[in-house]
Amino acid sequence: MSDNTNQLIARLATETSAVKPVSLRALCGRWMAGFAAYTALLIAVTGVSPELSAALSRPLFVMEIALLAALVISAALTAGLLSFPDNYQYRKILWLPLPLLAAFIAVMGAAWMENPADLPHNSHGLECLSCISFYALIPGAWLFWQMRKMASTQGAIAGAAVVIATFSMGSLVLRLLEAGDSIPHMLQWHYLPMLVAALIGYALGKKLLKW
Amino acid sequence: MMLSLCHVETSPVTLETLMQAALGGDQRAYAAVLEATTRLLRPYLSKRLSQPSEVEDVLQEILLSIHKARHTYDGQRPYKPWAYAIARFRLNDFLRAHYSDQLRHAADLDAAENISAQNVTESEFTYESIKAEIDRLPGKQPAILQSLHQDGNTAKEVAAKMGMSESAVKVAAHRAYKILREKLVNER
Repeated sequence: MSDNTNQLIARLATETSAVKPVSLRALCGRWMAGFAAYTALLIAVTGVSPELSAALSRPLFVMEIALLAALVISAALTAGLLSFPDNYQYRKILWLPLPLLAAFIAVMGAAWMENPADLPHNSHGLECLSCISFYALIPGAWLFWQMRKMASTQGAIAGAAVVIATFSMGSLVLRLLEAGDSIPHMLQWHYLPMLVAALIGYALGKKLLKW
Repeated sequence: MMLSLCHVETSPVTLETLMQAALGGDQRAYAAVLEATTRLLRPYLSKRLSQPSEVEDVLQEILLSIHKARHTYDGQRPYKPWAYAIARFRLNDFLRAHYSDQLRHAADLDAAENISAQNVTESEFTYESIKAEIDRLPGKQPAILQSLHQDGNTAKEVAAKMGMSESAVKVAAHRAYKILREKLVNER
């Protein structure tokens, strides 16, 4: 062992103090509680669509909402795993958002086939996108701030996971407000922009999650 | 006289238990973990880096990273995958930075046209006088210089023997001379 390495080890050992380790359960539990509280607050402020109770009788709508919620949870879990250098040694769970995303796409396809004559309503498309982005901003910033205290070895993918989680949360809240809108509109202004948002998250993660 | 043997139960000392103790503030346990980690990682790095000095540099970076990230290990899962994940991360950082430096300082391949006219078989040092430094060069450079200077081959003959193009041999020789010149000038 070189002298420099020996000296470094001695220095680090002398400098060390008790440190409270972070567990995956504590980290993700904190995030889920934060998401739940924030979502409840948003719904309390924005309210829900008067057509929601009728929409909840449609199985495809219920599946859409359930899958959005599952996407929020799974993407946040992926971001949590990626906060640890070794992904907490649960590598298979990292990919959980992908089958959920595939199921979501299938449900949206089925919902569109139910009403094929349904055309996109673009009158408030940008407004929807802005709302979703605005809703996602605070939890996204919070999650990035939390992850900067950790040690991700895959910062870019972690950033994308954070944005997918928070963007899905924003989409979920807005979907409850727009229960009766057209599926093509949903796809164009609510869900497809998630792909662009994920790329932005990828770039942000690469820069912000270095340590 | 009968001796009664006290049956003392001790828990096995593993890297996981040492690291848990270290997280509790035990400095000796922490030093033991870092020393064991160094012994684990040195062969891993030696296979992937050509210079012993680079191995030590990267090893020290990894130890610093382990120190910085120790709060992300809670002792509830194996230690080695966690340590190796950090090691791979820092090694990739080093290689990325190292190769981008090499590319920045490397001779432009278009300039190989000018190098081709130079006689790369002559240099201001003798091969024997700087053999130790030559052996420390990366990649095929030591073999190329040996073939040029000790075996007396031309660049064209070296290229044919090593399955390279003549201009690639000349560029590699030029880079080797540059590295050697910098090292030997700094040593003076």
